[in-house]
Amino acid sequence: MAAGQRTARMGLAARPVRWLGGRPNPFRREEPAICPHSLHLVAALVLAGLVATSSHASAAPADSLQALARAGAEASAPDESTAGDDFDASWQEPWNPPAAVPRRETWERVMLAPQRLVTLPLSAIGRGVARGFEWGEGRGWIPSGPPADRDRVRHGVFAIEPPMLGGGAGFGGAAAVRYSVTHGRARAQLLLRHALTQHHYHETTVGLVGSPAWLDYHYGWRPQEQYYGEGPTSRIEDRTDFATQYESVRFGVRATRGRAREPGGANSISLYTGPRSAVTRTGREPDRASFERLFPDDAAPVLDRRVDHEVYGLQLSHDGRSGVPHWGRGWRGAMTVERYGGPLRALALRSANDQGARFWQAKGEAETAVSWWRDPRTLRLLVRVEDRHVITGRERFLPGDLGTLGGAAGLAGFNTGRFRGLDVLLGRLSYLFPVSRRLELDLHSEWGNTFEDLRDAKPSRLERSAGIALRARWEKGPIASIGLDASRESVRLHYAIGGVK
Amino acid sequence: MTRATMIVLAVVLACTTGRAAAAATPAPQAPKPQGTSNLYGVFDHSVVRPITRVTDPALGLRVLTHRRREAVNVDAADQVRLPSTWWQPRLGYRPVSVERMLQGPGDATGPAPGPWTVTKAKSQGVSPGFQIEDAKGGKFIIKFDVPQFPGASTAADVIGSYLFWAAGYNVPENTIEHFRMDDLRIADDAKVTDTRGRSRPMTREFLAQLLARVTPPDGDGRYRCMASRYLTGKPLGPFRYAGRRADDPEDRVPHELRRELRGLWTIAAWVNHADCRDANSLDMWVTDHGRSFVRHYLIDFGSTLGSTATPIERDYSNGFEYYVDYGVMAKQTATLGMLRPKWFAVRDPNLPSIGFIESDVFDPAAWRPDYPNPAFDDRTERDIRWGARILAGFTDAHIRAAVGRGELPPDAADYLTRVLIARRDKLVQRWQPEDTATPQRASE
Repeated sequence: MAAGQRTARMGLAARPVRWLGGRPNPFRREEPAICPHSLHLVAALVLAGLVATSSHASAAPADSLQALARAGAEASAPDESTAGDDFDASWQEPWNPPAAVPRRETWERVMLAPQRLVTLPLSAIGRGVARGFEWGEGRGWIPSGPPADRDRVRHGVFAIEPPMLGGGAGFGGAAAVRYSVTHGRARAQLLLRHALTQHHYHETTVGLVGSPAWLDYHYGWRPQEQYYGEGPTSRIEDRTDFATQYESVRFGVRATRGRAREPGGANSISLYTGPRSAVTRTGREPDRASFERLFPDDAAPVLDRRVDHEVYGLQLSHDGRSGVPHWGRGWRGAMTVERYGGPLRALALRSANDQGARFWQAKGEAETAVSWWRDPRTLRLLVRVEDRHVITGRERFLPGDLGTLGGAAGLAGFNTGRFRGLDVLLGRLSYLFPVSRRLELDLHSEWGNTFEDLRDAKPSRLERSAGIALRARWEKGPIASIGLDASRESVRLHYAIGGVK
Repeated sequence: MTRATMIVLAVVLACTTGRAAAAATPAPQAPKPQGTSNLYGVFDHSVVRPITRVTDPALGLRVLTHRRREAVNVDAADQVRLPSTWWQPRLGYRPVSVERMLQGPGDATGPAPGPWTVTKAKSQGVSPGFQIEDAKGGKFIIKFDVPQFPGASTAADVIGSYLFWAAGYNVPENTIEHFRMDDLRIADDAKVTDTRGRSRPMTREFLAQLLARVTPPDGDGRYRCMASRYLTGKPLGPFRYAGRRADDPEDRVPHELRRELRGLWTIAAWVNHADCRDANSLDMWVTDHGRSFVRHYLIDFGSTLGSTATPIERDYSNGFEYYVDYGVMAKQTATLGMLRPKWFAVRDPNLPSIGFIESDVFDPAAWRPDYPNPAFDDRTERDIRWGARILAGFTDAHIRAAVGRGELPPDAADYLTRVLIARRDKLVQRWQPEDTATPQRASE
């Protein structure tokens, strides 16, 4: 087909609006049911208006047909083309209706009026939020895209972060200052961080963190820690609380090999030691009995007594997980062994008294996953075991040092801190699957409990919890989640922004 | 009063009013610049707007009665009323030679030979870049590819600009360029905007750090980049695909009722411009032929052709589903994720220089951007057919030439050309069945 023929075929004159399949166009407007006299009047008005504004609109054809037909004619006769560069963007006054076209027709506005009225506050909030985000993104305060490679840019030293003070601490935030002192293999960062929440939890960290060695100091206050008694037989009716104040200094060395999400994964071994001082106080939760009232035998040996320890620890970890947008292959594992021994007079933070229990603590957690299909459907299995072996002073064992389940610590369908005991057993099976490009669901079930001794753990004594979480994800991974977990005692809503795996 | 008298009176009245209005027209003022939020945009278009549409009784009634609202800036022949500051009839309406297309909106020469003076840089965002002045004082934005996908994003930006220009839209002049580190000078007042939006003086070390994050240089030490010439005029921020700029007297048609924007769906589907959103548009206050007005541009085609500026695995669902797609959600939730999406069948060409784009599974009736676009949501078949007519004007030669400007490796260029031709044919055959005589024959 010659170019001219083809253009002629596309010419407008030969192209009435046709509907697919040759059916009559259902949207085509029929002849208007208006008095012809009125039409004359309207036509005259329009004509007159055009004449009056001809100085503005002379370049604008009344109907695009004319312009396009002309263009078609020019195209048919390329030699006569006046195109020159009228392919360039137009500078002429654009065609416009006499008045602004309303977004909705009158009948639609009438129909929508009640709804608009009711949702007016929501619209106002939406506009406010939009402006706020616009403002924040314009100044770079709110990242407007995925933070790929941002960690390579070392300009910012100040950050506002989530508090990361565990479940039950409430809403809050943390301010952190990080300043890189050295880079490369022996990298070190000066850290000053303070976290605070609505329930008056707070923690301050000062340290020189990095690799291969670190030294840090923590001071914290947790005023509303839940306590229902120890062991698997504790009752929901016995809800109390206690407060704990703690400070510690840690010096450690670490050796690492490999990187997470790379072949071979990340492996590390750490050795650390340092003094710790802690004291258990009366719980501060309003309208809640403190633990010494319901559990006087548990509380008497520890309440308001400062306990000092020298802690020695060894940690081994492997992270061989891979996959996006959530990890679905490989496994991770971590094993920590700590000895809480008597305080060393030279290093003790406070009194160097020897009133606390001495004990060993071993914690192990492993998780593996298998996934299939292009946008992965994933099964994950997690097992956690904690074993504490008390050497002396079982009665003086601080409630804050006990193993815990409930809420974010595991068995999410139960209250935070619902189960406490020396030993912990927890299993979790999850099934994650995408429901949209940016959303996935996590169906999970957990079994576990706390025991005086792991040998007491029997399937019949394990508590069960099940839940569902909707997770928002970006290309590189999940970024937030919200969900419900249910147990025989409660249904709990939980959410997380950041830190979702 | 006779009918004739009424008409005469009406004419006199209208003439008088019109003249008075013309005489009183003040000098045009530039509208206030406006911004947009990427994050809120995702939330608004993925969550808020779908809810409001579902609970919109008027829209529901229109859907039930098959009386969707048509574009309002069209004439009796269902064509865009001209002139337009959004679109200019080019391919599909007039013959545009391949040579003219390759000239694009400017002269397609890119920066002038000589050193480049870096004036500003950004370290935020996923695609690092900077701004330069060439030896003749021309200003350009320079963008790069991530190391994982060398050439993909820059090629998409350049190819996209030619294709969208030929389709009639206003676009910036984008070219592929190569430079050495020695070609760069730093302006005395050059600033860097860091991840927190703070400005600080630029250093050569910073430039080296920035270039370490992009596709490494070739054997001659030359970095590949995309140079986008500054648009003339005063930037007013992005236009929105819904509503109007209230302070622009020439913006009287709600954008979701504009044929040029509703019909853009077809072109976007063709090149898989899934990132077609407010933020990738720009209004400029220009003075042209003595007239000052707002001209509307499409910018940033780096995410077309399935390309991505993010250094991660490809997103095969790009163009098949919204980020948050409620239909897909319902099905996947009901089947516990056991439903195999259509895009599972797509084959990866395994060409690092190509983003993800294919033609075998591509459905010309079901393409979707990353999240709902108000103008696309309101499109009707007439709008799509309008876009398909433009597509029918693209010959194989146009496509091959535009892809050639992306300076891709031969195998990648061949693949992309084949895919674009096949996608064009699918769209045209689906929406312009009378044009199914293969359009490429016209030029070959």
